[in-house]
Amino acid sequence: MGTSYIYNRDASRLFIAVRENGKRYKLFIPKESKPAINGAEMDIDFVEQGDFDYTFEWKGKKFHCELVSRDQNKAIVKVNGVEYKYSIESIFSYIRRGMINSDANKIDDNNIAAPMPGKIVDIFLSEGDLVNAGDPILTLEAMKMQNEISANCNGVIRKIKVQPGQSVMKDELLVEIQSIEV
Amino acid sequence: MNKNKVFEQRLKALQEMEYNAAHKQHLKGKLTARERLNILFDEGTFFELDSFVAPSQNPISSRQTNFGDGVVVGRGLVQGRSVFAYAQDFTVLGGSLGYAHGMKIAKVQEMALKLGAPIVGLMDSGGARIQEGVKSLSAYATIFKNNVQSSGIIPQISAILGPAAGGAVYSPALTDFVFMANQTSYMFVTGPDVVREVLNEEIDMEGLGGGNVHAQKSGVAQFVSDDEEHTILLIRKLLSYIPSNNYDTLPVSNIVNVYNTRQEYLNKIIPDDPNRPYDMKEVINILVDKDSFFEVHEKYAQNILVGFARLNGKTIGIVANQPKVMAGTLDINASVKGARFVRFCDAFNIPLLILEDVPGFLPGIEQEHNGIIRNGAKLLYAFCEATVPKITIITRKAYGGAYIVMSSKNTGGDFNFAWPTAEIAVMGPAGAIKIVNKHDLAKAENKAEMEKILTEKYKEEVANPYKAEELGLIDEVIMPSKTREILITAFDILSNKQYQKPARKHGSIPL
Amino acid sequence: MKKRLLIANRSEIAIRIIRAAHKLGMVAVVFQSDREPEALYLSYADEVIPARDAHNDKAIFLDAERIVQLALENNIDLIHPGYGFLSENPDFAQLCTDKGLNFIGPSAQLIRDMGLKTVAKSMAIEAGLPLVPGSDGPVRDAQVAKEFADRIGYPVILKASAGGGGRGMRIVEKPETIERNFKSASDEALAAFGNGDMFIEKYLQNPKHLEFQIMGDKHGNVVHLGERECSLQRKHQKIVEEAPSASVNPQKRAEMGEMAVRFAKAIGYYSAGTIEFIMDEDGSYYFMEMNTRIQVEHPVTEQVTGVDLVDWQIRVALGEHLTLKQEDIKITGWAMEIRVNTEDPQNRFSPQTGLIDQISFPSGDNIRIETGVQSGAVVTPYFDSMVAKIIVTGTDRADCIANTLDALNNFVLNGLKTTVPFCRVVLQHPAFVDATYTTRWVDQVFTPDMLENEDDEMIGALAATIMYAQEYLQLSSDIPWYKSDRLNVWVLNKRLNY
Repeated sequence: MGTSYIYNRDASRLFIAVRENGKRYKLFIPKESKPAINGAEMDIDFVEQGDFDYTFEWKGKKFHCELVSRDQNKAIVKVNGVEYKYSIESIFSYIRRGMINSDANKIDDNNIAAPMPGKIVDIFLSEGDLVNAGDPILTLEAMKMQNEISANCNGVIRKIKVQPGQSVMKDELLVEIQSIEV
Repeated sequence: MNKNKVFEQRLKALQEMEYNAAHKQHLKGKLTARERLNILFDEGTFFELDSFVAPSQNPISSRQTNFGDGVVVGRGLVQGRSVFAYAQDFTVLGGSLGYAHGMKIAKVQEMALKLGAPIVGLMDSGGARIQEGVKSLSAYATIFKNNVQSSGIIPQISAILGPAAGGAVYSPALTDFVFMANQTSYMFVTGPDVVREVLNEEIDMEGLGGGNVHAQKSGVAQFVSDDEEHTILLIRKLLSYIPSNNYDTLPVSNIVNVYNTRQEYLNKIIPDDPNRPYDMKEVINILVDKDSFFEVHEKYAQNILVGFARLNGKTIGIVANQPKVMAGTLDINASVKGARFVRFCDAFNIPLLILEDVPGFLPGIEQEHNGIIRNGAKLLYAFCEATVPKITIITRKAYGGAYIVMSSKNTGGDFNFAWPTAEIAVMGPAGAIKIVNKHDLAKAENKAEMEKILTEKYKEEVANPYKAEELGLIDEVIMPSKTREILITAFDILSNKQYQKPARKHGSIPL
Repeated sequence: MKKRLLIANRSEIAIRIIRAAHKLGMVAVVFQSDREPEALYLSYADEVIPARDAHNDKAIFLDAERIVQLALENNIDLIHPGYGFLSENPDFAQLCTDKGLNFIGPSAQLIRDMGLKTVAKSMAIEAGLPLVPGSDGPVRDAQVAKEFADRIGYPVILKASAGGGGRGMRIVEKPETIERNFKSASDEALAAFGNGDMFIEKYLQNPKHLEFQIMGDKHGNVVHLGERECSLQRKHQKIVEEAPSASVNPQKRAEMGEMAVRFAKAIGYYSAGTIEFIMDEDGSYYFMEMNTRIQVEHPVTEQVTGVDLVDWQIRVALGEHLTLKQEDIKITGWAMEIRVNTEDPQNRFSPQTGLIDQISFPSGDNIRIETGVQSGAVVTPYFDSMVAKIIVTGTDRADCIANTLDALNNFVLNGLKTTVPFCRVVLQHPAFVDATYTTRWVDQVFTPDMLENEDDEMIGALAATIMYAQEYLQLSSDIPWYKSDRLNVWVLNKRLNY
């Protein structure tokens, strides 16, 4: 499959949005007509566009979408008040990633060490909790500032090696996370 | 010999070579050199040079399959601007650099320098060609020399889209910006095999020199992406901010969107409690044109933010402390990251906006032993040396040496503003009252109460921006919600700034 | 001379009280806290007293002495404490009265008595109200505990008499385990509080939380205004409230209402108050406690009875006689209140702070909005996360639910996450629709993935892709969106002759 495509810029109105739970949507966004999702053209109307949000109307209902954050091709969108995380690829990058990740599902440990000496103030999560990259795990007080220590990958907290009130040195191991490649 | 027949034959051979290459690369999930260049350049504008150069060794046997000697070079348009590029071809002799290969690259480098156009290198190579021996090393040397000759005259960008080992890494290291793609690119001077043999350290390629390693730990890569295509599109994005050469004017965008409703929020964004952090990126995103902040070196030394942005369509460079990370202190990595960026902006006439909220330099044995003195001096040198317009805004803390380093008035800052929440002093209240009011504290019955009173007094009398305003070191204390307007006017005023420095071969920056 | 009413509170309740004050022709005065210098309620008041509380440990609303001092300096006649903060602080009420300020609420003694659970419960027993079956005094012996538990029926809950917070607490389901549990709970209590004495109570597995609104005047007249059901709670915080309750038929309403009035009269209560009952699955109900303030959810009672409760609070404080007669108070239709909290239901309801980019409320004849914020407001960590209340009415419960869902679908808040999507899930869940939900529903049933649905997910993918595509297509398009700046000759000359 991967050998038969030749890079072609014009086809790049076709995208694949992958949600964090693995669900895939194939989207075609033409300039003039209505978008097509998973092959079927959808009667979705673009109602309005604000500074950071879109409102769509479909099946008689209003959908209010707000862009929470975007990092290159990863976006978090809030639809009617609920957040969903997506990773958006063009068709070719999607196929390429499939090739590269064919020996994927590496499960390795991601350890979080203290970036500087300080005192553990608050621990928000426990061993066994599922985290997404960026979720805050604990607060480290250093230089009279409260620093949030967050997860560096998607995974499961294997071990929390410190307690509230404990003083730690720089590079001391704080949390062990077992990463799960999505 | 039918001359036309040879002409067509070799064209066909080239096409077949390309087809086979596509097959091989796509199976690995990668693109071929020409495909990559097609992503980089505007449609149909790629003008290839030296496609039929033969390898300098054994030219006859490899004539039909090794056209170009493993690299595709040429010139194309990137959104209408002339840009030179070379892309190494892994399918030809492993992309290894032989003499002819190296000379092709040197050729485009020299041409780019002559014509004042940016040069982009897409690396994907196995390294020097062992069979050609010292000759391939000498080709590398020529390339490196050209890198340095062009440094500061034309922007040089490298993207590592495959392995780059040994000497090959030095060309990207000399260029202005390095892009990498996760799981596709690796950069190291000595590979894992040698490391295992000599030092008994066990590590794989990705762990030794993959995209994330260089983005986060070593700071060699300024941009990392998940996908090749996106990496190359990011190069296009970068080019839209910078000029084509050091005499050229900056690009001005004709799309200017502003977060009008959010300007008021700047008045409330600084927390009352000086120990609570806030996200400086939010401040930047509100001040500059919508979505125009393009962060450089994002994952390295996150306690300082550097990047390009647009203000009213015009490019500016931003250097800002990030109070959310390590309290915004300056450490070795942050100083070097900042200094590198400031010098690039100075070389290419990009004005600088400095957003300051720094409580000082990071203390500690590790910092001192690793030379925070020397490295902090790099940032100071860069700011003092830069002759581009420099506007500093102090949002909250600005203490001691760090205040001076972050482009203060007498280091050459053109305009220095402060928000009413600014605290400018030799040191923070906690430390200062212990020294200045030592006796009062010793005599006090209720130490905590006394500390509170003295801190208040210190803030009122010493650590406020109005003191500095009176001395003229702050041009004006401004309301945060008016900052954007003031900045646009200020940069406009400074747009003609040109400053002649006394002649010298070059300065002696502490390295 | 117009009367001057000071509101020692903030946000939506301050605006509510200002409205009542204006209706009675009074001057409404509020405090401005440095922690919230641009709050919405300030623009509704007639006068604003700057509290200058930036450097104090607590905000002005918790500073009893300062409130009274500033009130006296500003010639205040009446003080309304709202809810929360000092509204049930007997010392504050006493201080106001001592200094000659008319505290809108019951007397300090009543507040004090009802604030102590033991006192309230003993007064309830005296008035003949049913209490959750439990030990009268502390139990020190496992055998006594077992006999007791056998008598009142399992499951029972063992609580440490000297402290709380979950320590020394055990729920015992089966008779075989009571002695063991008693010993471990008592040991834990001894270690934690130095006292191993235990109380035993019947444990209600799936209770409903019902409360009766009463209003009394200073002349001994008391009426009740029906019940509210507040069983939709999370960690003892109410999120959805409704009036009336589907678990209370007219006969029970009369029964419980009469009890509530009897109790209030017995203790000599006046002003607004709420008697809380807990109802078991078999319909049996027990007195829990009394709240001596106006409550957050008072609007639902106002909507179904047509009585303005805050208005009456102020009148009672001025000494007026209650003109409401029990037989005239009728419950018509149904009302529900949705609390809009800036908490993230996808992430353990963690509180969110920051800028509200935009907020827009639904509107309509059957919708009443009480809000403390407008677009551009900043939610701080210093105060409660409830920013607004949406109150919707209907002809009956099903109609009310439908109207509320409509209203929530038209509610938009950009910038922060709220509990509104959670409320949408609740309103459509069978347990709510059938009115079988209890205070345990959130813990037992709710999971964050109930907030997601396929349609939203797909539209979200579309939105994300459009936003990404814009940049992607712009970058890969050959048409430049920029041009080179003008060439300034002076600048070029300087550069060339560097």
